[in-house]
Amino acid sequence: MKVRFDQITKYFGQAAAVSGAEFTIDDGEFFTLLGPSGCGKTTLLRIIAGFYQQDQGDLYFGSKLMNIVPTHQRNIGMVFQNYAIFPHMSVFDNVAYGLKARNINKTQIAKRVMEALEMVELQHLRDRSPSDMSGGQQQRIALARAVVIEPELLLMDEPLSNLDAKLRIKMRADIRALQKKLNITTIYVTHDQEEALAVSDRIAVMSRGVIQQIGSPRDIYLKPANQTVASFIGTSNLLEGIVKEHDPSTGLAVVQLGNQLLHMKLVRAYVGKALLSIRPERIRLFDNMRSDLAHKLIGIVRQSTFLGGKMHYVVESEQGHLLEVEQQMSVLIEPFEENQRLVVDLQLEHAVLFDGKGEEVLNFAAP
Amino acid sequence: MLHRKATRLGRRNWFGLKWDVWSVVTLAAFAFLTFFVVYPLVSLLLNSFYDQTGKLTLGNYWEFLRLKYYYSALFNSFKISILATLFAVLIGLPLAYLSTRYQIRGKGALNILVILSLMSPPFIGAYSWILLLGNNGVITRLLHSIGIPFTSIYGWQGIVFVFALQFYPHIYLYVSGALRTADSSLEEAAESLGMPAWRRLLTVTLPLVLPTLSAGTLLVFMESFADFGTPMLLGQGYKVMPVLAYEQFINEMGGNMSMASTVSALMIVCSTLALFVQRFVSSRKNYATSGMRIAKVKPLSRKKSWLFTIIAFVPASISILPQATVIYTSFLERKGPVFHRGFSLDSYIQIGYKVQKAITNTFSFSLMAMGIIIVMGVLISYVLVRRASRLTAFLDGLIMIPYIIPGTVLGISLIIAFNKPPIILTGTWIIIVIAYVARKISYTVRSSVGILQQLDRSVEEASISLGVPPMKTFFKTTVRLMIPGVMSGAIISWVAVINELSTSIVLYHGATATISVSIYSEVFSSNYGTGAALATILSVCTIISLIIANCLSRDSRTIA
Ligand SMILES: Nc1ncnc2c1ncn2[C@@H]1O[C@H](COP(=O)(O)OP(=O)(O)O)[C@@H](O)[C@H]1O
Ligand SMILES: [Mg+2]
Repeated sequence: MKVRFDQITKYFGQAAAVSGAEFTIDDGEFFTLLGPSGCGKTTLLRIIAGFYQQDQGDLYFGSKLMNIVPTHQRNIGMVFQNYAIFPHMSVFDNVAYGLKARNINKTQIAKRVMEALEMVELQHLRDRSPSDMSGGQQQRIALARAVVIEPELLLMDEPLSNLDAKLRIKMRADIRALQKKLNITTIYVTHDQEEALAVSDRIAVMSRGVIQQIGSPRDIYLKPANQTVASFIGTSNLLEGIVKEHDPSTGLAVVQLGNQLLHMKLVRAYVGKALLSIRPERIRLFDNMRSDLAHKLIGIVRQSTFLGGKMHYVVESEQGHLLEVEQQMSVLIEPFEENQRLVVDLQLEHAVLFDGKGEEVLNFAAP
Repeated sequence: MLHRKATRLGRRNWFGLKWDVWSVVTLAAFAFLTFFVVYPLVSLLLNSFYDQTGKLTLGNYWEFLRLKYYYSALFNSFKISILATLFAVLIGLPLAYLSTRYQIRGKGALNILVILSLMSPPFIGAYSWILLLGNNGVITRLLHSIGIPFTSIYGWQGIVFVFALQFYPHIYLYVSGALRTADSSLEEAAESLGMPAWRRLLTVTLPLVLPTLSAGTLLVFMESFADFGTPMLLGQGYKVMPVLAYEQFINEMGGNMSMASTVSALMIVCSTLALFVQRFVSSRKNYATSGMRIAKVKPLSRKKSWLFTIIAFVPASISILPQATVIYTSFLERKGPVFHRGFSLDSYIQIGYKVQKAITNTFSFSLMAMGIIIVMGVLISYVLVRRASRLTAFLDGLIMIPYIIPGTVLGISLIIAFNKPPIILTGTWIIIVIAYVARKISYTVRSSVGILQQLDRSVEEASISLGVPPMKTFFKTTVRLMIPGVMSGAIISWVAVINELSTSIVLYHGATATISVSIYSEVFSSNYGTGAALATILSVCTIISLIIANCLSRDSRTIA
């Protein structure tokens, strides 16, 4: 089922928790709302569920206007951050709860509950009381309870944030597999960008109540629409530069970064301050002076941290920029020492250039 | 880009209230409290400013301040309440420390004794102390026979004695709770800094439990200040405020309802003042402790352990003595009012035909009141927690009013409000049930609010999202999860209601007498046997109720 948001705005007091949300979620899509805590993800999700009423705008399920349809008539399945298991019911009764509300006959209920429990691998615990089960098991019950009613829409609000790191990774894969199998339109809320990148068909990045960008995980990562998205997804080095001149016929511009002049192709005419965003894993470091590099800087290692599979460095360039750099560990390369002088290759073909306020992309990175 | 004006939504709001079942509940609660608490109290207050002829005057207050007969009662009330509170702290505080920090024997038994002595109505305590220490009491005669010149328990010392023994359990229970959860690493820090034990106690431990102690102290003060039965039985001419108010009220035929109102109004002022003093003291000394490490219990040598156990059991045993005496007395054989040596069921047979009505009254009134209290308590607490707004905060405040109004005062105010057209309720059972509800609902609301705040809201939302409408969800999940906790709180209200005297004595009217009223009048006319039998019935009911409450609260803990 398609879900369409038409200029939806929600205020708490004077502040807008969500403002002007305008987008469509496709049938069968795994759609993720991603953003830092307090950016309005839960608010938007609860508007979809009907727990909050938007102050402005319209919400459609398919072609049906949902604004005043109460929650219990929306046919949604919802999974909560803290599981929200009914503590006074057995595992079976928890999962059967929504079916009983739909007046389905007993044998059907038993059959469907057992199917749902099998899907989450909990069939052997059907008669147990959920109160003394682990967080992961409780979240599986919650998932089974939400999907057993065959909802048209599955809503999940940070369902994994109370689980430990290993379980989180397994559960997110399970959730994704289940979603694909049932082909159920899913709206997933998380503040964990890695999780969002791993499971989603499309991601909407939110900040301060406003949707900043909607796109596939690759798009969001490689082609951030603005500086907010670039710095929220992964880490980004942001360097200030100036677009000196722009040639409208070729689209080529001269960008000054410190005392260096770089040449880049811009998407539109622009002259003035600019921000350059570079991913830490794109920057390369060399200990010998190489002359074959187009855009090189000289820097000093200020901090060197061993992270297992990779090294993390903070490098200070001669221009005074502090750069974060990540390098995969390899048997061929010795890790750099602190205070070591080296050459920094920015690989500008992978950098993204924003205007001075970080609101608009002037040049996209090569993938 | 095309900008359209988006639809403006949002339901009609009225005082920040959504129009649904819950707004009806809110309004109904307001109506109840306005009609049966605010209106009577305002009537009472107004009444105190009119003289017998209906002229507006400050004369009643002037009279109160001018005549020693009146103002000495205020002085007396403060004297016995402060002394009783002081002694209650002196007994309760060390006992709490002893039982939480040292390995003494029979802690379970100690707790049961303490709770039992708290739960008997104070006037039963007074009455049994009369049996023991009265002019002709067992211990009095014993003392006389060995030549100790003990007069009797009557007088202010007796009142203080009974109050202190009756109310120290409040201090004990509050403080031992706080001591058990206080972060012991603070004490250890003080120890590591070289503080000797007794100074650690004064500089670290005591300040930490001070807010709790002050809450307990307020409770003891309020109850001593408001209690009617004990000073009435033991005072013998020594008048305190509740007794004075009652006498002025009873003399209504002679006609001094205005003075009864004035005395009542002054009592409200005093208890409100006490509340504010306590809030002031504890607000400035409230330390948030995280309770990281629970205090350890010090093991003791064999000898010391026995010594401490005996010390701990002394006050507990003395305070349970009245209950034991009452039960013992109720089974004594007697001829007329005179007791004989043997045992019999005479007293019980007598109440069978004499005050049977009182028993059915107590239970039917209390059951009705409890039914209303539970339903209202659950609904109101839901509004307070899940529909919190400025309006519901105001409602919360209103509910707490009867908590600081002495029972006698509430009774008198209801009489003043409803003894004239358009609504006459005086002399009916309805007014008694209403008074019970108004007085005791705050306990149930408080405990329900506590439970609801711990109940995860998303459990309700999960149910609604699964297709169960909100009201049905409320009954299927919320109420279902609240009930064990609510019931264990409600049973405490129930115990308080069946033992209630100070309001009932003002509101009863022949046919609506309750057990506690009958005990009072039996004792007043020296029918100690029937009084004791009735008191035993109350005590047994109380004990059974407490056991049930205990089981229920254990149940609810396993669910939550
Ligand atoms: N019930 C509420 N009342 C008032 N403010 C709220 C309420 N719920 C959320 N907010 C505010 O709205 C903003 C968005 O909150 P939320 O949607 O919960 O963010 P997220 O889920 O992205 O962390 C926050 O600033 C939060 O303080
Ligand atoms: Mg959230």
